[in-house]
Amino acid sequence: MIRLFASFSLIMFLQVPQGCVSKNSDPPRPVAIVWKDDQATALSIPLSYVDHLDSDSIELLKVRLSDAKISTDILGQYALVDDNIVFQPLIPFTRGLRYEVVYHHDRVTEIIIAEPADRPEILSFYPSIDTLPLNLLKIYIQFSRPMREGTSLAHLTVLEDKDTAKGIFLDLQPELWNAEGTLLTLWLDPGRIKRDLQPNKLLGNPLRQGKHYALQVSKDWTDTRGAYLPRDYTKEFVVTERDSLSPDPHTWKIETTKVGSNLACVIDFPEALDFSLLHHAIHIINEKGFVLEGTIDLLNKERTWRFLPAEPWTIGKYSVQVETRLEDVAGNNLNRTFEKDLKAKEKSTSNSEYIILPLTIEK
Amino acid sequence: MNAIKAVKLKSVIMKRILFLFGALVAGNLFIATNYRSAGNLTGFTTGTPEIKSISALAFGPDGILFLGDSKSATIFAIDTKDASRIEKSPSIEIKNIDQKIAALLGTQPQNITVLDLVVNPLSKNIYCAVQSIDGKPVLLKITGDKIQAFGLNDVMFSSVALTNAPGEEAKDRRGQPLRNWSISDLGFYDGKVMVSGLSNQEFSSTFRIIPFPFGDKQEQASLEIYHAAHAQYETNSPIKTFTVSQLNGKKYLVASYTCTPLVLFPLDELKPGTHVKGRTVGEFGAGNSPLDMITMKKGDDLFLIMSNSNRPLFRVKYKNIESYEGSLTTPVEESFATAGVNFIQLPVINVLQLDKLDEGQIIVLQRKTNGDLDLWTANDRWL
Repeated sequence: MIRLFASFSLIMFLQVPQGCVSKNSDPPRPVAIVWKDDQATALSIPLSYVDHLDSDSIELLKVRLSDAKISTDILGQYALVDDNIVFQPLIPFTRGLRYEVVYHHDRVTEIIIAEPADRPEILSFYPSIDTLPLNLLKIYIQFSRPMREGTSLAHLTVLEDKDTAKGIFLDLQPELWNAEGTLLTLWLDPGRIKRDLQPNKLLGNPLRQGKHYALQVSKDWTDTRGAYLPRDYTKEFVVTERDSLSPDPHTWKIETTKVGSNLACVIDFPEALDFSLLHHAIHIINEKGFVLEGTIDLLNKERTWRFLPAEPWTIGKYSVQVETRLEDVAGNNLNRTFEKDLKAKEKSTSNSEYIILPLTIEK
Repeated sequence: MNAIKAVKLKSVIMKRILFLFGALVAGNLFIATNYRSAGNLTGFTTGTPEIKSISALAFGPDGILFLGDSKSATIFAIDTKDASRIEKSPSIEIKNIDQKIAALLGTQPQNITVLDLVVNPLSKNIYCAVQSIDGKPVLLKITGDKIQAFGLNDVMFSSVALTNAPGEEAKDRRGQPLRNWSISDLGFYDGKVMVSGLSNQEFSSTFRIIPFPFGDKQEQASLEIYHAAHAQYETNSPIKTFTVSQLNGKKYLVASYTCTPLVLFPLDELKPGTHVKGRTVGEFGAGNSPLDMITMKKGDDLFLIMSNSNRPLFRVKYKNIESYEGSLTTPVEESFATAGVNFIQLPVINVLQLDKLDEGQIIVLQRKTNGDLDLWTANDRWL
């Protein structure tokens, strides 16, 4: 029991970094806002707001949203830390809203949570190229900050030659975001891309050949702090013919590199490949089969893969290991095309997981 | 003076905290002892699960709540200790539930999203996952008209990571999985957790069957399942929602996809490493996504109730599915037409969440035409 007591005290101490709390001892001290990762995660309320010193008095202290339609105590935890009552709500306080501290049903003070000072931005759209195949499968949007999730499609508009095109993207809940909440994966509805499936028959392919498209992202979209994008963003592209061919690694151009150097290994592809898979599906391995540590950069609009090794190249045999799940922008991977035609006699498809290409290291 | 007061107050509060801890620990031991005899808490530990997102919820046995976390590609099993059985729930009605939840969370209704809502089949309490603008998931417990937080600190829990074949699931330098998962639905049937989803990388539908309690060995099976080809093409699209039901004495996975085909997969054929082809028994309309599916019983009849993004609620008699021998292999030619098994459209639209409250009642989360979000109870007149 003593150990439980000790650990609880420690948790309470850690919840409020001392540097964040107002230390002014002249009464009445203001309520301090506790910030973490640019979010207001707690209020530190001096005990001077409580006139009777028993635990019931603390229970009469509540935090509520000011001017709310429904006035109710906010769910959260109250803890006593030094001479402050620290209230930690279940979710951070919302930027731009006002909150009141209520004691015995009377408002004793009000706190305004300031709007964020900076705004999120869109850094890039992938594929970067502006001529895309009819059966384009995915679009990625890279943001500078974690964005609000679950509302993406409400902020996206696709214009086809200036008319709104509907149902282009798969309505996926939950949405596909990276762990940081900064990269969104959008799937063009695969049911509409695959020929002869009901959605394709009824609604047609999401994109049409020869048309000009503009993917617009509305400035109404906020980040996780409630800060809006500074402007509308647009990715424009034109659509060419269907890509029904698997990428062929044997057509790739692999530049040689030198022993003892930290020079990059550079691979050029004849077409742009999938942005996400390019980061994960190509590896440089040594003769023992170990994957080399290093940094991957994509250049030339996802048509060049550059690997900078963490250690200089040494004498020995290296190779490029390409996972066959690597896809082009139309979802054709190294083993199979995106559409599987059951009637057509396809060339025999491989089931191997990797394709190995030689990498020459010059002395 | 202030310092002395604080010390006194602290002492009072700490005594109370100690008392609460004592009661909690004693309670834990008592309940844990009861459960252990049922054998469901193998692999459980007490602690705070690191839950990054809540994509889907499902109840298992004895008040165990399964929670699908797309962000950490993990399924958590939480012991809610909410396992007292009641047969019939009072009917529940909470008008403008989004405003009430928002006020309790100290924010505005437009800043919250209800992610999933399930009924504990024993206590009939409702568990609701909500996400606020900051992305942090919150679990709420609704009893009658009372909404309270369900704390995920210091709970009994176990978890299983959604890995692929051994070695395939690489991690980046910060130890985070390279793939992002989207868990579309989660269910517990026959002692197994079933999970459907999609990854951000290759286009393939993933369906997993994970035995519960989660063992040291991950016996989960990752399956490639396809639904019936239209003309000559077949697809392994992601399942949006599913349930399990017995048809003609055999258990089937009943699944639905975007554009609403209803597809059956025999459960005994869902084995790892196999290419399983489902039989499409219904086409319930294009331009729509199924949202939720439940099975209800009235008299001798079992019904499938399905909520949709752009259609009203559907009701399908399982007897009709049983007697439908065919497989739809040709596309429905007329725009937005339907085909296959007969189904009834119920006069209820914009149902976002749906679950069985008890044998005769269904809990419904509905966006009304005036914009209100209401939680209410439908009785078996729907059946």
